[in-house]
Amino acid sequence: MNMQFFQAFLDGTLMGGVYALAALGLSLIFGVMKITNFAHGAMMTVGMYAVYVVSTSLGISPYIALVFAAITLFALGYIIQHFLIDKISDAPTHNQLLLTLGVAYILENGLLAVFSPNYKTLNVDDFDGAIQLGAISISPEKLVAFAVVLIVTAVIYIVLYKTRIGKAIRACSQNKEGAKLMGIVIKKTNAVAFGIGALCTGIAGALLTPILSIYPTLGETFQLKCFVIAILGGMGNLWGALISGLIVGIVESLTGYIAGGSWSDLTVYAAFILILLVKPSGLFGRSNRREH
Amino acid sequence: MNTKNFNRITLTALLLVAVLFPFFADFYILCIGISVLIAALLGQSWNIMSGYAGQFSFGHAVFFGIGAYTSTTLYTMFGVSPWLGMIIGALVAALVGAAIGFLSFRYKLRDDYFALATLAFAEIFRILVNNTSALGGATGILIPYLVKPSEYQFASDKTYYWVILALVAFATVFIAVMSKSKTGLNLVAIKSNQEAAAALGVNVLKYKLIAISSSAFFAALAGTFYAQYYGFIDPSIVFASSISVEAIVPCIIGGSGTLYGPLLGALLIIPLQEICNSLFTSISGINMIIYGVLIVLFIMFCPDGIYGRMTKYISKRKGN
Amino acid sequence: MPLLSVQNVCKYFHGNKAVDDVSLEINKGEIVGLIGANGAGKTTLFNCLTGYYKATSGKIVYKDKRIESLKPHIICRMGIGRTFQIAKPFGDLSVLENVAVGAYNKCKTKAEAYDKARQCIIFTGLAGKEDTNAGTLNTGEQRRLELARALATDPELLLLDEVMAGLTPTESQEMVELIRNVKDQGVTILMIEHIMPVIMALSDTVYVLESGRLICKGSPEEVSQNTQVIESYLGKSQEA
Repeated sequence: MNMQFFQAFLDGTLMGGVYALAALGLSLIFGVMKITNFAHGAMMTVGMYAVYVVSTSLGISPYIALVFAAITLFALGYIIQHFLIDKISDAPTHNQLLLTLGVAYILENGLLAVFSPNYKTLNVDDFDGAIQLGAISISPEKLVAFAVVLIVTAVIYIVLYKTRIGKAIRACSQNKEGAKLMGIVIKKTNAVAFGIGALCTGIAGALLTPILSIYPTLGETFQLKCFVIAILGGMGNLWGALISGLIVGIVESLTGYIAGGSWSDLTVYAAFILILLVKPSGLFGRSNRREH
Repeated sequence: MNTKNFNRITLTALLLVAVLFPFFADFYILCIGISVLIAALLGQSWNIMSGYAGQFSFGHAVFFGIGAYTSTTLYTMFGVSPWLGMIIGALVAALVGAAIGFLSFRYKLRDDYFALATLAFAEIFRILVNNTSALGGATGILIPYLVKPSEYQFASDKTYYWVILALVAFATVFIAVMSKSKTGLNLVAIKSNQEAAAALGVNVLKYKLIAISSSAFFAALAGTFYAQYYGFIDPSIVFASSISVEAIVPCIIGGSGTLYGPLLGALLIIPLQEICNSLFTSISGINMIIYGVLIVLFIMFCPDGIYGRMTKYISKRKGN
Repeated sequence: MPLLSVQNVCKYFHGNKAVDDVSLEINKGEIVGLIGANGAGKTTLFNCLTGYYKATSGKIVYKDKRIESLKPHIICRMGIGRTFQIAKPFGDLSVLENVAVGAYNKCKTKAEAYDKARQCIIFTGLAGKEDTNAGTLNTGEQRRLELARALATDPELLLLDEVMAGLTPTESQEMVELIRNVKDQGVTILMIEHIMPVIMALSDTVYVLESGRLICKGSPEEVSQNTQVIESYLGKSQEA
């Protein structure tokens, strides 16, 4: 096989992992609250800046600063759900969608106001250059990012499947009325679920910070990708989000390699519309949508 | 009868103020007036499809951009007057709208999923134009400024103001007539419940397509005006998601699905943004923060919008 | 020749037979009742008849034309009107406008449509409510509005899905009268109903559905004495 092709494949897989984590958060939020979170990208950017600020001001490794970003984002998500979205939980879906859009504008432009639109680059000295395996070179930042994604995902699964709050979240995502009858406090469960969703996207952002130059609207690009992945995997389907994250990463990287960078986004969006039209329940079956 | 007369007099007075406004405004204020009217036109466009017919668009930039690019390329490449280009652009946008609508509605996309699809379509158009060198690519197109009224170029900003005012008036009259017609009733019925509408013989797909096409038509008019007024377009401006949002916000604040709501919304939001921008010149993004805060506040506390809340209040008082 | 003939219609959802080999006939001028427990497939059958679901197999013939793959609005224009089990008023429109949506089906001009709508509003006893916002009506009024809208489309066959649901006894009595009046206008009616006295009072023929299958057909008296029906349906409802 062509080595460059393999290189593109590998890069795509590693980036796909990061996409998958962010999309996992989006899918979780949709699964529980039935809300398409338009603030997802902005929350990711908040994660990026959190790492940037903590890492540069304290002079610590971004991978330690990541913990701080995770906590911030969890709190942010919890607050957004608890104080805003929960108050209009009976409103039509497009109002909830708009509310998250409003939040996105506040976050994104808040960052813009504080940090200016200039690109910021984090210099990482944890590694000394790319790892060379024959003709293949692997960026250590991407490799670490992928490893962290695996760890975080595992932890989230343990939380969702082994802890009480996790079980409550899953119960709410399957049947809200039933969950209420079982004595689950919906309000708190929703807020925790939103917090975890925000934490996922925040960590994804944090992991991208050493790889990319960051700016306040960077998250927007990733947001649409998250929608693509979450819908491809079936909104609310967490395993689906992980697998489609990898698929999107790889497809994007390969089309970039074959046809040039700007066409890779186009392929992803075109595929997205196709999926929406033909199989809105995603690649892996059942949908969360109403019958009809 | 009395209220009808009163309404008529108020409306005439307001229209008169709007027409005579350029004579009392300095250059800066006039520019803001034009921005208000562009937002109002976009808002009215969104209002038709999303306010009245309930099909939530998140990608109105696609129609705005098509309007801007159609008239501009026809003008710079083939010398077609942008007046004609504006009509052609609007028709092209209506066709594209019908195509997007046909695909989406045919496959029964609704709510969030439809909104996401419109967003993706707008992105696709942005990337396509960005990569088409014949259309200027990412650098965009500069429109030569020749000051020829026959080519949609005027010496005075006053004239630009009257042109966009006329377009807004056109859109508003269109909506006024439509909302009282069979089409208007059917659109609102579809918004409420499309199954029930179909049971009453309403061809749901057809009326949704009418809504998206006419909505696209007006957004494209705004696009051409924007191109002619500013003299420069590029994909990241006219296909930007911020344009899509600018179509939504006046409706949310004024009241979507109401005739005057988007006008009122635009009249409030744009000057407010300008004031904030001039107060906090050193901070970028402050105007967009205002957008965000207003969206959140209105959605949470006044989801009918100001005009919508007013009319509901009045009709309730009448009812009692 | 029957006005509507349903021949071996089946509707499956993911392998579940919601409607299983149902055949029935409705003659012009009749009121036909359709009864059965919850989940027996009554509403699913309605949805097949009115184009909301495409029947998995079988034929639906209305006035000599196959209609099983037509869209709901086309079926409405052919003369089949329907109401919904859960009333679906257009909340942003007035009562008059709600009914006008239906009236535009056959009327060419606005004046004609609004005239027709007013007649239907008076006929269903909603006179005086024309300018009320439809979202503010009470349950009884919403039921009447459903009926007024469906009548405004000028149906020859009217499908009523539990029009009595949620009504007080007095309102039910008035609704029974109203349905009789509709019939007297020459409209044929197929109605789903839970309340046995209503079915007994109104129907010429009754069909009984159980788990998607027709288990009995006959006059109201015959059906109410059928042991299978008593066991599977009436017995259960007495328990409940």
